[in-house]
Amino acid sequence: MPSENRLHPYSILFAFLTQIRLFVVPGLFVMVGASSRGDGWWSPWMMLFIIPSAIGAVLRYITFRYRYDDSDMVIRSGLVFRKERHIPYARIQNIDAVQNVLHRLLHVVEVKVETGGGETAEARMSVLPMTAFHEMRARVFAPHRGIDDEAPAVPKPPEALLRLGTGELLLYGLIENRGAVVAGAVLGVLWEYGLVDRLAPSVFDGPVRGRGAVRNLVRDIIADVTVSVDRIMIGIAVVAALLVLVRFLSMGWAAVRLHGFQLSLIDGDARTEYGLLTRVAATIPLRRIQTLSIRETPLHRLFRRVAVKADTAGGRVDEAGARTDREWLAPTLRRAALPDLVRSLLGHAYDTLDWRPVAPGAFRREVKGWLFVAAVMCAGLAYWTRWWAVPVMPVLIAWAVLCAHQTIKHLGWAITDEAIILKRGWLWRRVVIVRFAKIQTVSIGENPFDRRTAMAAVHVDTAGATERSVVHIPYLARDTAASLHARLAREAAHRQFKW
Amino acid sequence: MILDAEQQLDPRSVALNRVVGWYVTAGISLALIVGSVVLLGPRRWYWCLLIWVAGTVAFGWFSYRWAEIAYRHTAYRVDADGIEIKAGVFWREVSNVPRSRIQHTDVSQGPLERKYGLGRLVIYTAGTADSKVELPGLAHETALQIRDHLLPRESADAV
Repeated sequence: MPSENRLHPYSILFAFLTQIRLFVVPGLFVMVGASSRGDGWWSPWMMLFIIPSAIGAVLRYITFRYRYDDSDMVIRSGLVFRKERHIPYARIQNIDAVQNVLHRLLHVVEVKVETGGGETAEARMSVLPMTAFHEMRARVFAPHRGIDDEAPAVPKPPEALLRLGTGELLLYGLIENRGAVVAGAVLGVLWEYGLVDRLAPSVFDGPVRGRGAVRNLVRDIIADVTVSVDRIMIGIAVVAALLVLVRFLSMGWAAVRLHGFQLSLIDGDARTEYGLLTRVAATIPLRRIQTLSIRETPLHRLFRRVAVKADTAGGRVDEAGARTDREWLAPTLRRAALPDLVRSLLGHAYDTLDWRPVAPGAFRREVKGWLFVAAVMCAGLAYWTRWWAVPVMPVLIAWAVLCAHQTIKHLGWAITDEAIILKRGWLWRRVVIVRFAKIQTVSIGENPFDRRTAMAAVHVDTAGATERSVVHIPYLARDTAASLHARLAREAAHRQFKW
Repeated sequence: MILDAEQQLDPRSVALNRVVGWYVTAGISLALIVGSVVLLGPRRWYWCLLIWVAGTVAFGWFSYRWAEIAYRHTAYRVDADGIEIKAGVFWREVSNVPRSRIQHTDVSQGPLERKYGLGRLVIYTAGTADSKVELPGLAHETALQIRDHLLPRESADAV
């Protein structure tokens, strides 16, 4: 029997730190807040919860073993309820490594092993020595080499596909505006523990003047009080300053979080590595990419960038939302470089696609929905403000018609020898590429509206599809839809699905 | 089992769905009488009676007819590639499941289905929205035959 491995002894330390973060830090916050409110007397006792969980951490470390068999990775754990989990190498979708600052100081790493099933990682090893992680990656991904004929041929040496410098990352932060997340989290914590009320006077030296200026302004405008131009300008300036501040936060967040981002191809696996404080290394075998989606917001277009994301069949939810970041193969990419990246990842052309529009009657159907929304809004406006509805109504109707027109104009699909591709969205555009080999089921649907206009919709289901990466092509002429459905069903059936 | 031709469900499934419909109608009928008496009060018993009779008759007639209408709009076709299922009266849908994408299949029978000799074929794929495709109302032997046909021939699932 192959020798068994254990976690790194520092595992106990990290398990302990997690518990401290869960119990002690909130406890301290409540204690600070309690002196002024007097309702947190029980909070120090919460810290006692840490004792049983600390014992649990030690036991988990002692009982956790793993080993590499010929075809499976075997993980044994548990003292009272023993568990032996076998994970076949062939089923492992990806191996992620996360290192925060402390991990890096101690040369250890937290590893997650994911297979297709389930919502969460199949095995989470916190923490392993760096050398053990490299060994695991080599052992798990080694046995497939050579037998996989589906993966596009790639040269053997590591091939850097994308490197993002600080400038690009700042641009990414500007485009994506993740600052709202940071600001929201900070404010939420401060508010929760009553620190906003305490900090504000000390920062602004005395009771804050001008607090609620924007709120009062809006209230006065609605109440039809005459407002001076100064107040309006100040209000606009405050809002604008906040928005700019959030963008700056976002840029800083991106520069730290994705510092040194690199996407490379190593022997048929896409590997992303990034992070200044917390170092992340994620490996996705190319043949495990279920769908590839390309996103383009108005800001992306302004800077001629796109964002490329891969959906895999692994777990979808992560408590920290870390997965969503990991799956960005290219958080930001020059649009001109997109065809090359698609060719490297999927092995087929992107720039010479033959885009086809939906059926001619699609606009008439789409515009009805938009006009209905516009009518409801006008009715609401007329009820609340009476005369304001008169000038607003033509604007809303024009907007509805424009939206419907542009939505249909930018809705299209293309089919190649290997994949079905959908594009949709006017201001926020998205392209989804699904290779035939990754199609699970194909269906054609007709609702009562479709039947009146001889249309149908084609829907392609894939493993691990999220709302963003769903391929649903509406408003197709009925015979187009029928032949597309038949072709997709045939193509899917004649290709072996490989996770 | 005939391959490559579109097949209807077993006609006994209409009878089964009507029986299910009677049960649902009985439940709705009870809810109507209790609800109308509580809301309107026993003094207006004539309204309660009217609601009860009209609601029960309408729903009973609907479920009686619906079993047959739904039966007419449901069909399936099994061929070498996989299975195609057609269903839906207002929202019609034709779904294709290639054989190579089937993870596993179930054939299940509830107590009523056993009485009528029917079975329900459930096909699981690795997909998201269609991870579970159901085909109820087959003769039990047919369901077993389709299941055997859809089972992978050789262990070609090496990833």
